[in-house]
Amino acid sequence: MHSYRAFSLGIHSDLTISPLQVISHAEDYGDVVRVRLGAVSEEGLSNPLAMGLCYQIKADAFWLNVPNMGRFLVTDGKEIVIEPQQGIDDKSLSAFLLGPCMAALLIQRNVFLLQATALGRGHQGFAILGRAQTGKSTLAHALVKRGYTFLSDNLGIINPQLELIPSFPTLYLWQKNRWYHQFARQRREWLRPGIKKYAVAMDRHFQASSLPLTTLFIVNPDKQTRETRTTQLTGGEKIRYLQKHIANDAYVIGLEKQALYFQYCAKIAANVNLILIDLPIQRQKDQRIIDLIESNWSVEHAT
Amino acid sequence: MPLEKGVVWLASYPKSGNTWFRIVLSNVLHDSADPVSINRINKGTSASSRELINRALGFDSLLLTQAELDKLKPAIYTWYAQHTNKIRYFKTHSAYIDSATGCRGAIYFIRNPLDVAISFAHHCHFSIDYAIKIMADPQYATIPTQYGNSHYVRERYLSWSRHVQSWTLQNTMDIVVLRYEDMTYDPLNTFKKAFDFIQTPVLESVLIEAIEQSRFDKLQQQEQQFGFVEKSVRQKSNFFRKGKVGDWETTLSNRQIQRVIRTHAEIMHQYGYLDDHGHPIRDYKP
Repeated sequence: MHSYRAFSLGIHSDLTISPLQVISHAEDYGDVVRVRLGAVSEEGLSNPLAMGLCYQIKADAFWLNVPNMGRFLVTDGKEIVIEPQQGIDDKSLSAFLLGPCMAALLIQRNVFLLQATALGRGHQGFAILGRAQTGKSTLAHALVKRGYTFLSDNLGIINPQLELIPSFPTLYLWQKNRWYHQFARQRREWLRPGIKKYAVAMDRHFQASSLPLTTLFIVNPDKQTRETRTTQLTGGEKIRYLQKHIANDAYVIGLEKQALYFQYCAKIAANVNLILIDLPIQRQKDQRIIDLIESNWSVEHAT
Repeated sequence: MPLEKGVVWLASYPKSGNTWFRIVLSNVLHDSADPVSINRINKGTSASSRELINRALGFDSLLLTQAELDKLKPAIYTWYAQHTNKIRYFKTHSAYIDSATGCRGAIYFIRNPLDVAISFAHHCHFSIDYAIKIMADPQYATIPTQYGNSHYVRERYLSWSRHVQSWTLQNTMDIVVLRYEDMTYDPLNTFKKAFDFIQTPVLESVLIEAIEQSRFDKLQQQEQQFGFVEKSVRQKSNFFRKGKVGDWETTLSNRQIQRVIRTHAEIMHQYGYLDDHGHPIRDYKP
C-alpha cells in the first residue's frame, strides 16, 4: 500500500497513483481517504438518481464502468474501490481515479468544483474558468513562468470558506502545445498510454496550502466575437456564469448537491470578483490574454 | 402517426445540404411567423459534439484514445436512442460506421461531388485539388484530438463514395435520400418527402413558408448581419457562400472534373450525376 497527498487529503492506496509522489504519513495531511482494489458490481447501483452509459449515481455513491478499463465505486467521500480489467496499466487507472472518481469524492465531501485552473500570488488565489479546451492549462503555465504559484489544473476546488484547495503539483499539456517542447528534456510522463497529453511537474511552483479566492477570470473564446473585451460581472450574471462552469454537473444532480451548489454560487457571487474575458476564438492562447489577466489581477491587488 | 421518440439521423458528407434542411426543419417546427435565426437552429445536435459524448459517458472523453472512443460510439448513440422521450435529430458527417442500433431512421443528403469539392475547399480553406484528394481518401477522418483542441470528436468521412454507400447500403434502419439538386429545383416535393419519412404531418402552407424563410439569399443576409456560429474558424468566405447547383461547370478544370469522375463514377451515375456514357449531367431533373 502507498501513501499520497492530494486535494488536501491523505490517500492510502493499493494502486500506484501516477503522477503523485509517495509520502510517509498520509495522516499528516488531513482527512484520509482509502483507494483499494476490490470487487465492484457489474450491474451498478440500486435505484440510481442519475445515470448514463458508463455511470450511475445516487446520494452516497458514484459508480463508473469504463469498458476495457475497470469499474470504480466512490462512496461517502471516503473510499474508492477499483476493480481493474485484467492487464490494464496503473497510469490508465490513475487517470480515471484522479479525474472523474476524485471529482465525485470531492462533491460527496461538499466541496465546490469549477471547470477551472487555480493559481496564487502571495496570500491570495484566483482561478481561470473556461469550458474544456479553452486554454486554461496553457494560460496557467504561462502565468507560473511569471512567478505565480500553482494550485490545481482542470478543477477549481473551493471549500465552504471560499478557499482554493490545492490538488497536486502537475499540469497537463497537449503535445501540440507550443510550450510542451520546452519541457522536452525534463521528465516526461504521459497522462496514459496513447494519449498525447503530458505531465509537467509543478513542484517548484506548487502552493501546498489553501488560499482565499478573490477573483475568477472567465475565458470565453467565441467565433462571433471580433475584439477582446473584459467585463466586470455583477449580480445575477455572476451566478449564471458560475452555474455554466460547474464541473461534472451531472454528478452534482445525482449526488443531490444542487441546493448546496446554489448556495456556493450565491456566496461566491457576493464575495468574489468575476471578470469575463470575451475574445475571438483565434486568440484564445494569445499572449495578450495573459497580460490582460495579470493587469486585472494587479489592479485588484495593487500594493 | 408522428414519431414520438427516438433518434433520427441527419447524415451527409460535408457541404451537401444538411444545414439547409435543419434550418427548414427548425422553421417548420418553430411556432412563430418570424424566421428562425441561423444562430438558433435548435434541430440537429451534432453527433460528434464532445459535450454530447461526455454526457453519455459521464467523464471526459479526452481520457480515452481515439480507438477506445470509436469502439464506444455505437453504444453511446444507442443509449441516446433508448433514453430519449422525444424525437432527437443527430446531425453527422461521419460515414455509417459510428452509428447506433435502435434509431428511428436516417435522412441522407447527397450532392454532386463536383460541387461538393468546391464548397468543401472553401469551407476548410484549402485548395480544390486538396479537397478532391480528401474526397478520394478511403480512410479520411478529421483529427481533432491530436492537437488537443477540439469541442468535437473525430468523424470518419472515408471517401465520398464510401460515405454514400455506408449509409445507403446499411440495413439497420430505414433511410430516405435527398439530393441537394432536388432540394433546390423542387423544394416542396423534396422536403415533403423528408417530412413524410419522419412521419411529421406539415401543412403545405407551413412548409412553403418555411422553405421561403430558409431561402439561400435570406440565409446569406442573416450571416452577413449576425455571423454564423457553425461556420468553420478556417473558412474565410461566408458559410452560405453560393449554394449554386452546377458551380463546377465554371469553376473546376477539366483535369479536376476527370479526377472526381474517375474515383466516384459508380455512385455519381447511380444518383444521376453522370450519364450512361460517363459524362457529367448538366441538365438537372428532379
